[in-house]
Amino acid sequence: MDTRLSRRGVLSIAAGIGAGGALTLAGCGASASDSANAAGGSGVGGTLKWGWDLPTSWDPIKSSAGWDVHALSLVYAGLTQEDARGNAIPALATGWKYNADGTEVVFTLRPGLKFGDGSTLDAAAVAKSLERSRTDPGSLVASQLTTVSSVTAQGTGTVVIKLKQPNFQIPTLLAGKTGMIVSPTAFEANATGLTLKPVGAGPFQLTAYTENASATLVRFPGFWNAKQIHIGTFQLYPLPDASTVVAGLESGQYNVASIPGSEVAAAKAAGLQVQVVDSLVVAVLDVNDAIAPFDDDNVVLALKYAVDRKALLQTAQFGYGEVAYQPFPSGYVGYDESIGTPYAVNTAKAKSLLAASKYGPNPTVTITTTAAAGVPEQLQSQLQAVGFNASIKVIPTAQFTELVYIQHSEQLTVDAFAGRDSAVQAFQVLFGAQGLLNPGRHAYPQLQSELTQVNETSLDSSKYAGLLQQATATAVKQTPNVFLYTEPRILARASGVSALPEDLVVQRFEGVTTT
Amino acid sequence: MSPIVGSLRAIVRLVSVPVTVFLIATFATYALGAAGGANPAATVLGQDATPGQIAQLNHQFGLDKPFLVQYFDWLGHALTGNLGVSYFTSIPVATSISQAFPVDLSLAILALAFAVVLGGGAGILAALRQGGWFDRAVSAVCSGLATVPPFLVGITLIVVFAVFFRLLPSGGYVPFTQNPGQWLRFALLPSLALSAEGAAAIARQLRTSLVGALQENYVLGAAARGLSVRRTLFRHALRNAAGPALTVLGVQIPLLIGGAVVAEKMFALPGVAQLALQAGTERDVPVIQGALLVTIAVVLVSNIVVNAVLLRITPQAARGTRSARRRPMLQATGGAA
Amino acid sequence: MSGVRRAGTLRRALRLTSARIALGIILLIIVLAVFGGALAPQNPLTQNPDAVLRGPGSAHWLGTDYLGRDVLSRLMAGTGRSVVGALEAVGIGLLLGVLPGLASLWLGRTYEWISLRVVDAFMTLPYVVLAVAVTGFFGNSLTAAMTAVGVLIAPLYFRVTRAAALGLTRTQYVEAAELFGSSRRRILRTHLWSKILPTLAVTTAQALASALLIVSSLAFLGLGVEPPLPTWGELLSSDLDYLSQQPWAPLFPGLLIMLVAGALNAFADAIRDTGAANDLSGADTVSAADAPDDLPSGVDLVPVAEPVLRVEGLRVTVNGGRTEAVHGVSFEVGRGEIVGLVGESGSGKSLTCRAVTGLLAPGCERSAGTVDLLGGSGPVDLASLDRAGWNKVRGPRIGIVFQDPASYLNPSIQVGKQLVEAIRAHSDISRTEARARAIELFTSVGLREPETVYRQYPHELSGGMAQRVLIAIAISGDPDLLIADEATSALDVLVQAEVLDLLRGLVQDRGLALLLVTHDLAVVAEFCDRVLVCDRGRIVEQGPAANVWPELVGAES
Repeated sequence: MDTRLSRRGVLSIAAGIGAGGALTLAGCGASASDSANAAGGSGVGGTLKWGWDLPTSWDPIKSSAGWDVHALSLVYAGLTQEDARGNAIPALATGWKYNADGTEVVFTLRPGLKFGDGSTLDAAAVAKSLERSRTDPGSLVASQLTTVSSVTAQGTGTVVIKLKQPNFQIPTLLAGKTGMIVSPTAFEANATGLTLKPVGAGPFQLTAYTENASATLVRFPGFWNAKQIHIGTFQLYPLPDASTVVAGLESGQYNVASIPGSEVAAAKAAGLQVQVVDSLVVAVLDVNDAIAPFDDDNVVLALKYAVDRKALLQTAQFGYGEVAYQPFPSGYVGYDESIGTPYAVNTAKAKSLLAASKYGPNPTVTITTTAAAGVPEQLQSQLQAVGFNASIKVIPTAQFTELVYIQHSEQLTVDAFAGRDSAVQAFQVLFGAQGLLNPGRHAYPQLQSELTQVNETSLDSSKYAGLLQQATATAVKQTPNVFLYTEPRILARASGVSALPEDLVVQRFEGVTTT
Repeated sequence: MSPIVGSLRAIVRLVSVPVTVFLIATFATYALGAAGGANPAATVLGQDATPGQIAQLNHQFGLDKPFLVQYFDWLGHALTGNLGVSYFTSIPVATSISQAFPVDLSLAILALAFAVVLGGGAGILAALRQGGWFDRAVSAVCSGLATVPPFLVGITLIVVFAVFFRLLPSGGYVPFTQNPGQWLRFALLPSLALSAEGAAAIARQLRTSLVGALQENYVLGAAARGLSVRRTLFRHALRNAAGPALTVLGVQIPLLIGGAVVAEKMFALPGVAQLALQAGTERDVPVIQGALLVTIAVVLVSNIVVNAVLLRITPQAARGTRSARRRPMLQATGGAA
Repeated sequence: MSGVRRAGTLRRALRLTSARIALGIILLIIVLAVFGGALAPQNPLTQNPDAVLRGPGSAHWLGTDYLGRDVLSRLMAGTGRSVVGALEAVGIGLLLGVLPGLASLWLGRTYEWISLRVVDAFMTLPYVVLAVAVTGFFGNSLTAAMTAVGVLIAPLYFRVTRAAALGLTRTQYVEAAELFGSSRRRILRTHLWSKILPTLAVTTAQALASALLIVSSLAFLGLGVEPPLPTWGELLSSDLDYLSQQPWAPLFPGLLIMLVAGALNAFADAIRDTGAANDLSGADTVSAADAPDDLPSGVDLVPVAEPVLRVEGLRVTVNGGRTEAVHGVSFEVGRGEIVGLVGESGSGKSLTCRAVTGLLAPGCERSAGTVDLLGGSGPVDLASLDRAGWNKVRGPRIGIVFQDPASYLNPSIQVGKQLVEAIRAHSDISRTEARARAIELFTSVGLREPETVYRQYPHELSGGMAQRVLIAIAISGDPDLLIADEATSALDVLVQAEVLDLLRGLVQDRGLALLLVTHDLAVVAEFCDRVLVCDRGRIVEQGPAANVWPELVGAES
């Protein structure tokens, strides 16, 4: 759905908002790149032209779209990265150590690091940068750092983060936009300048940028993992229109681009390589169980059985992606195998549930969306098939947040959740009493206590995965939201570009070569 | 009336219209934006925001003030050259506009050139061969172009030139200042697409008025003086027929700058229309207003230029309309001479 | 009365084939709009996951869409909403445009000024931004988008109404009606509507066409979409998402939109064209073409001494050769001679004169006879000339002066420059020399302030002055023959006498031959050496004026 929306560039922001607010993810390339690297060779050069999207701001704390993390990861690095499956691994830091009760974490920095502007990237710089993310009045990532009480430097190579309560999720959290390290020299001199001219320590440096048009970046030899970066020049373009993207790839305007499922066949026919990369993005129906008719659990359950996810997946993405019953893709640490397919489409059961509800066999329901064609239309037809008196309401993208996330005035909203760096954070957004994707503002005590346990469990602990998956199972059982299907990144590339790393969270380019 | 008072009056008359138009237009969009019921802070902050943060950011944007205060705040800043900062990107509006405007301008110039050459040429030939096959072909193509949904023109050009023949890129942009050759490669298709409507309008208008002009006595008079066909056509008939076509051209200019949303979308061009459209969707008021400012300026400048040209080529027409009430006096002077 | 008039216009418009086809299409669309859903071969909403994006075939004539719905049925069922949408937009535009447009003429200058500025302001707004803002305000419904489009169309209606009404308020019968104390509302009802309604009909047809197009653009941008029943614009835009699967799919809704928009435009054109033709129908027509019952017999050529022009057996056809209007005219004009060619209007005298000068209107043609220029720099067979050949004759050999002289001057160029242009077209002299000669010529035709006149535009000249300018241009090439085609008819008596004196002077001073075409017998009798009387395409009498009309000449002298 992201690509469909973004086709109308109007809505490119919506990909971030409607389809998942702050997609604050970050990732890694270290492990993924090893595999991709095999084909590579050691030469540096070539130009990669990526049809993806330009960031709303090059300053990570001002960026307002989750989508931006992919572009920002080209110029910024964090203390940590995420590996192909979304686990935190070292980046600028060589490692980290929690204290026993999980209220303090100490990161050890790599020695001799530099920012793109030549200034030194030491513990003091990291502390200043993270303190800015946390306390700057204009910071849009501050809300994710509320459990942090202070970030301080110890000597030049050690960063100490003190926490208000136990939280073992910090390394994952800092792998994303939240933890991107910005040169203090740059923001102390001119904080607003970062919006157009980023200064970080990522794999590339921005040399030219035209809003809505293109960004040109060159390889940054000072990047800690620069030996894995073979691309000499990187050009970033806004997401091309679905109807012209393949033409753009064929004509050499891009050599890598994100394409919708509908264009896969055309891309292959044109001799392009297509990779379908799993992502954390999952399509979801936000169900407001505080208002009729979803305040009756029978109606919610009927809804879950009425939805034919496979058919929706086929329509939305031509079958690329997986049917989903939980907020995470298979292979992610929070994915609970045991959930299975609990709400496989069952028209008879949905009908009988409706008949048993207090609203009778034909409750009226309004499906809210920003773009009606496709999934909402099909959903309407599926709901009508079990007896719902369903209609579609199209709202302007600009009002989506206000109506759905703030006023909670919509019954049923077609939405997408873009995932979060930290699994606990994802749970809070989806199911927390204040979570935006919890329009019914329902509190789930059992889930909350399970999450507290997760927070208090070290990521290295053998119990961690089990606890997280338990929380997932609880959420799927108790909460009304209906997960539909995962939305993979579908990347088409010209023959001159080697295979791209298949990262769950952030698209990275370690190991990629281009002619 | 002393000359100073006279020129002061002229200046006031010249300025009062654009200023009023500017005030009405900006106020109207500001009002619509405010009435739209969007919540920019909530949209900016995304899924993780708390109500407190949203209120704080809205306060920072000044959106908690009464509507009129907001508008006059903006106006005050705009008059001092400060167009503000985008709610969403934090990029100063002036920076965005100064990047986007040259795109529109360079494309618009090329598109206008196409429109004038193609539309003008077709219109003149059609008028000269009135009723012939070329005339009928031109009017068929023009009515066709006038009824094609604009994006079909763009798609067709892309499919033909970018996909089928692979001659030109399907979208994107390189600034003229950076590489004129590349600029032309990227600008060709969108300019053609943009010019289609204008070319059709100019061809239709020019044909009609030229057919009319060719029937005028002064054309016969020119022939009676033994002037050559070319001279009669260009200096006499065309000169008087060009007025309405020029007016059409003047109407096209604002459509090319700020109004070319579909073409900019289709060809991934970073112009003012894209900026305005995106800002419109997000209710990013400072950016909308900035884009509006440019559009209004373009409209006003193109009006002035078109009027100046009209005044030069057909002085009697301008004089005639401006002084309809004074005409008897002019006749009297003429008779006395 | 107005109803009758309009019905007449409509009937006349329908004589055009294009208008009939257009009306047929429009009627078909109306039928589809009302009954489209019922007529559709399949349910336009029935989805079929097993048959998505199928090509045209026997089961689905136009194929299926991304949810397996029948495209033909959707197009048919969607007609209603497309049409209603366009009507909504146009209705809003009409409402917001027409009344304020009329009011701007009657509610005083302050209101007029403000309303004009508001209209200007709306015209500067980029339409998509406005549409976005309106859909933001009213929600992303078709009605909201149509309201936006209506607001955008309103300025058009405002201007059109205002222009039509403005033209009307300047006409005398409204002033007269006001003088007679008719109330303004009555004036509005009885006079205005009958004038404005045809204009509004044309504008509405065009506005409907553009509304359809704008809606499709908005749908492309995702505005104004209201599922599940689509408008054509929505169909078109959703087809673009599946362009690689069904590259031909946008053709169906696209062609439908084009067809309807084209039909509406063609219909508007037809109404406007017939309306315009109607206005022209009062103009003079060539009555010489009427088949004469009793043909007068023509007179033979009478040779003169030192002939400059010889016309022999000249026949002219009109109506593209279907009718003969001049039936074998022969005459000569000699050096230093003033010959009057007289006849009633429609007698063929003007056609003869035009044929002699090679300035026949399209559709008129010299079918037989010869026209020769003699004397001077050698004989020229005018009948054989092409345009370039004529350019060497008109000016240096023949000068021509017309009735309504100002209209024969380019309104946009100073008259002096037009004279200079004529001088330089036939001689290789410099601009400065030509200018000096122009001043000289202006003086010689009796213009008192030649320098001032030089810089004046035609509309600044009185009729007599304009005729003098035209004469100056006509003699600038130093011709042997001057043809004056009703050159003095429109002038008042005093000026007429002055101009005739001037012409006589020129004949005497320069030895010109003057062919004076006129219907004014008095002028001919007093002024001409010889008279040719034209009747129904023939010269029926010729000779000195005293011989032709002894009683008239006698009375005059």
